[in-house]
Amino acid sequence: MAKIYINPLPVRIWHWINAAGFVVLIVTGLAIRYADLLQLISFATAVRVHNTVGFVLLANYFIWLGFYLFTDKITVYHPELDPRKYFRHSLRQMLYYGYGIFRGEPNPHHPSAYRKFNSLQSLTYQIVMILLLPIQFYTGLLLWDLERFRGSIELFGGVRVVATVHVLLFIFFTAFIFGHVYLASLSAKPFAHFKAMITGYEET
Amino acid sequence: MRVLALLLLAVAPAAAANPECLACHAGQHVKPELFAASVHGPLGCTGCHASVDLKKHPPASRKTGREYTLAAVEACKSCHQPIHEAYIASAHGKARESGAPVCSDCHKPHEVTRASVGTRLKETCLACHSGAVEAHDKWLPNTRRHLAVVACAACHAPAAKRKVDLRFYDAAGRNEVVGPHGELQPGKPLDEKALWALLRSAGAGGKVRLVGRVEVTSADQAHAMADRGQALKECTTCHRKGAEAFQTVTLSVVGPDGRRVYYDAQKEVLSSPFSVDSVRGFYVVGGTRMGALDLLLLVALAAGIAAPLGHLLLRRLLRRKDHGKDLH
Repeated sequence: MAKIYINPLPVRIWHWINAAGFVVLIVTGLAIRYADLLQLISFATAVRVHNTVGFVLLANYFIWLGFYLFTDKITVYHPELDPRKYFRHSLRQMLYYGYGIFRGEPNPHHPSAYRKFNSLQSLTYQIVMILLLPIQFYTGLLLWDLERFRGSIELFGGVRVVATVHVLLFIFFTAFIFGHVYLASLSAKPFAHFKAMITGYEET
Repeated sequence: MRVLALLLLAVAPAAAANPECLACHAGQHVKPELFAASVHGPLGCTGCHASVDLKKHPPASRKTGREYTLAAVEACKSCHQPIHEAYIASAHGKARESGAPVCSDCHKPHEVTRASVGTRLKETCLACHSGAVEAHDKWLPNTRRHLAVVACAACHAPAAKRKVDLRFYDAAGRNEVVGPHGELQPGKPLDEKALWALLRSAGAGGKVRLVGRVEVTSADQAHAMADRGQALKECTTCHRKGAEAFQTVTLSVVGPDGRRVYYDAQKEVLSSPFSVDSVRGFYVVGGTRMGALDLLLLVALAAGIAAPLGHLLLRRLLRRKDHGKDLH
């Protein structure tokens, strides 16, 4: 049984803080938006926890950003720079999840330390990490102090636009988590991806 | 000089500007130009000070300023009866002998402007309750925004009926501007389309915004201030769908005469996807949420759960079939 070191410590720390934070933000977000339907915790407590955890995740984001910006592991997102190959591999991965997997075909992607993600995964994570998550942090920050960020809110289109974008992304992330956990279970060895995010080593 | 003024006062018509009074009283308490511009200006001095006995004026023994303002509450009552009753029963009214504010402390009767115009009332509250911002900041998120858009009475007069009043502000959302007064007609409550059309005519190029304020629905309720401990502190009074404050919506404009005029609007304008832009300056988490987004959350949750489950089930079923084929 071969093992490869696939998830360095900073990535694992970032991932689990992020995972726990996401759950707390989703639960408190629901408690804030649906205080009339869900009496999980008081509205005031939910707001306080939501704000605090939001800032923790904002700081945590910079662990991820710093790690990939200042190490050669950034190549896991772009093992090669040929866009045609990149999209061909993404399509191949989609065909595998949509068809090949049911026929018992092997996963066309074989992870390694510098090719951790399949192309579809890499594309999705880049959209999430470089576009959607920063927008979620930014809109959350604006909503945290409406007077302090009055000018930015007006530039964004007003508080209702900011809140609507924040809620739309909240809906996306909530649905995304289910798919994320399920796809993580589709490893060659049972629970190999989960174990890899704890120990750093993936069994192949 | 004083004798001359008294003689003039004796013959002055009731609703005149009474320059003969101002001859002595102009100064610290009465500023002639401000009094002339105030809503009380047309009443003249005798409108409120009819009890002055000219034969004994000035009286031999004078009241202190505080005694005088306390007694003047009765003069206000003659015109503002419901407000007077609400005030007398309020925390302010009950403690008025102990220094709590009387009418003239907040409203400056000789330069009174309409209470609903401008931000002067909030500033008046904070002038006495100087620690209020810090006290709210200890427990109230977005304190400054709450204090900017929620009238003090909306929480501190807990029995009052609340509503949202939409107002035209400049592009920065800082100062109220004169709205499109002539284009508004009383009658059918304004809907999203009507608001949009109004905004377009009021300020081409996005120069005008609609900003919402949580207000109480009547002036007497605005004076029914309760003791501090009875003030509303439960966030979900407003931060929940169907909250009472969002069942009544008005749009108000300050006309050229300085009078605020209210027009009814449909309550749906606060939560409609079509007014995200036109009512861009008012949003209450949970309270004015869009139903379309709730539906989208349900669909996304259902899809997020059903897609992996369906995929898993299909994998199991097809694997079993393949396994069966292998056996044969």
